[in-house]
Amino acid sequence: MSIELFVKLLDKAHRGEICSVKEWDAQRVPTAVKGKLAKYELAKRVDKENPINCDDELADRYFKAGYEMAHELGIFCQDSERIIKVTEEDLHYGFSRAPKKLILGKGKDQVVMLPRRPEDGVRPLFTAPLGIVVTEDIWIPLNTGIAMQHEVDILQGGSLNTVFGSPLKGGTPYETVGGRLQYEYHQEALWRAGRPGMPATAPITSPTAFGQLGGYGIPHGFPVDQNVCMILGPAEMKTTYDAFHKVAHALNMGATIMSGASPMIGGYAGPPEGTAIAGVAWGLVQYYVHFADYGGCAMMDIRFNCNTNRDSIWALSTTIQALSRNTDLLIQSVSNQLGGPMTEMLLWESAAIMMALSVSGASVVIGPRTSGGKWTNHLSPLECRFCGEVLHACSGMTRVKANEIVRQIIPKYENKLREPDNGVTFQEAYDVSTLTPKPEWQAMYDKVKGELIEMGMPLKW
Amino acid sequence: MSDNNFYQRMTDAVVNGEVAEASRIAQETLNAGLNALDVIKQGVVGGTDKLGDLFQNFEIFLPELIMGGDAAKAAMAILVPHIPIAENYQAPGKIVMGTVFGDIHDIGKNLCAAMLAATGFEVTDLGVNVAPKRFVATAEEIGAKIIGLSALMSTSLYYQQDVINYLKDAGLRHKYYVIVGGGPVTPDWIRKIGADGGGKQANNVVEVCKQLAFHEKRPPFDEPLVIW
Repeated sequence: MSIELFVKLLDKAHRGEICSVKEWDAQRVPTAVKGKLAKYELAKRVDKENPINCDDELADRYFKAGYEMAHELGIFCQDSERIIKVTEEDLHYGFSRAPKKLILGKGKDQVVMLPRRPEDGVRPLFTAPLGIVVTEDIWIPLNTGIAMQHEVDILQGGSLNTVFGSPLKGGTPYETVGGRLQYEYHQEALWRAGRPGMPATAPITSPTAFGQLGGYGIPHGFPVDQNVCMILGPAEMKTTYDAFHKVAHALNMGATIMSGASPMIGGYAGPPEGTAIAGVAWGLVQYYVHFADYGGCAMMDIRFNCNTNRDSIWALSTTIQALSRNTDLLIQSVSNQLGGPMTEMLLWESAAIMMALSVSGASVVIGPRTSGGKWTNHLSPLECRFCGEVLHACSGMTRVKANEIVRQIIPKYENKLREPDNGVTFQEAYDVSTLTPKPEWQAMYDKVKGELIEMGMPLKW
Repeated sequence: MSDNNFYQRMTDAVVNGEVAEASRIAQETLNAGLNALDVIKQGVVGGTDKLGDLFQNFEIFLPELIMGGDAAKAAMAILVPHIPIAENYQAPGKIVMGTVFGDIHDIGKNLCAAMLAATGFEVTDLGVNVAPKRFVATAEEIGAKIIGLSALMSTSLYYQQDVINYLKDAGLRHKYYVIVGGGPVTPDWIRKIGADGGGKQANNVVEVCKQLAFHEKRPPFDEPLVIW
């Protein structure tokens, strides 16, 4: 039945109102956002001193604004340059088919994802890492090290940029081969880590549909009954034929679908308050347009390309609270850090954003995006462990308490966001043969963790 | 109406992203006998400078920047042909921009394109998922000086290199400055693929393009112009 409805959706992408990309980006989206900011009196709401939103009534107004925007504006199909009209009935169909509980993985490595509310004691899941480029020579040891961290519930794995040493060019057969190759490496890493049943969001190396078609749900590819299929849009309120290819393939396979995209603060939706509205709208519409089993919202600030500054933490916490307070959906979000391995900056940023997302009601968080995802091999298992520890430890914490802590954390890194510490590579941060952090990196971790415990974060040694 | 009044109206039209109004004022200034170059410097550039400042301070956002760039472009199209020859005015020139093949992300590219248009460059935006040959064909067709290649994915970075290789193989590398940008682009990558320049942020890219537009040395550069 879903596939028939999907075809009807495709029909809308082909017959909807014609609109140029520029009109969508520069007029339709900003006009819709401005209208909702005015109608619900949501402008100038950022509280930089309390970056984790504590106002439930405000979060609910953002939800109403985002919900209205979703069905009044619709979604733009970038390839057909037409608007996919979305009715309230469409939105509710999407919500109704989305699960209220997901069991992912197999055997002892199985995990359960549940809806959460702000300040909820239900344990959120942690997916690591975000798509950071990892070279083939260290892909298996590095991801083995990440999978060995029991704070990591779902392994996404680093992105490949070569296949058997040749450039992995998106949109070509290299990508198709890359999807399959990633599974071979992934499976080896899970086996070495002793967690063969661990679920994945996969395949991360799929910039177009080819990586997924080559690596997911096929014989000798990521098994459907263990792994989640990941479908990303290019920006909030936009989709593409590539995303639709992935949806079609996922529906054909009977796959679990995760959908996402990163609205940019300062981008099409404007200020943090506008981006929060667009974030809610995008968060809701994915359950219909991408047939998401779990969706939600990432977010970044266009000035820094991260979401650990005050504006981003406020906008993202408000967005996730709006979604988690007003639906029973499984809501995912993402952390985007700028600091690199073997820097305190990375740990402080991670503490701030993971705590904010945990207390705001995210069901699952993906991260870290170490070094802004910009530098090859700048990723290590230790920050993955740290992110998971904070995310899990802060479930059940009040937002007031979280703000007390985050106010102490942010000054430790915010003046470095323009010129972040990029840190070092995995090989420099770790003993690759034993998969243990270098003493200097371990000492930084111990120091920051100790200080967080003193601040009142319930981390355990 | 005084000259300053015209300039102020033009500045306001650009800042407010009023494309038709900017065109109309441009024509009015010509009809009133104002020097086209003075209108550009005092009115259009005054507006684009203000746009840049407003964006840096987050008083306006990307959509306003795009519309402001369009308004500046519309005014320039009317004013530039009327600049007296004696003024020896050199426009910054034409840029072909796009997101490379295999990549559908456009916000970084759109930000750069809007800021470049607002600075007086004539920007041809090819959109996203653009094949290497199309960048080169368009640059040839419109007589561009610079080709700008955006990529957000590590798997699309290679196409930046492909465009440069295509230019070399076609014997056209000496005709175009190639600048690259995007999330995974680093100074090392810019050097590795033999690009002529790149910047960390959109405003850095604009600065690189401004320097390239009037650079004495033809491409390719041995050492790229990188602002990081």
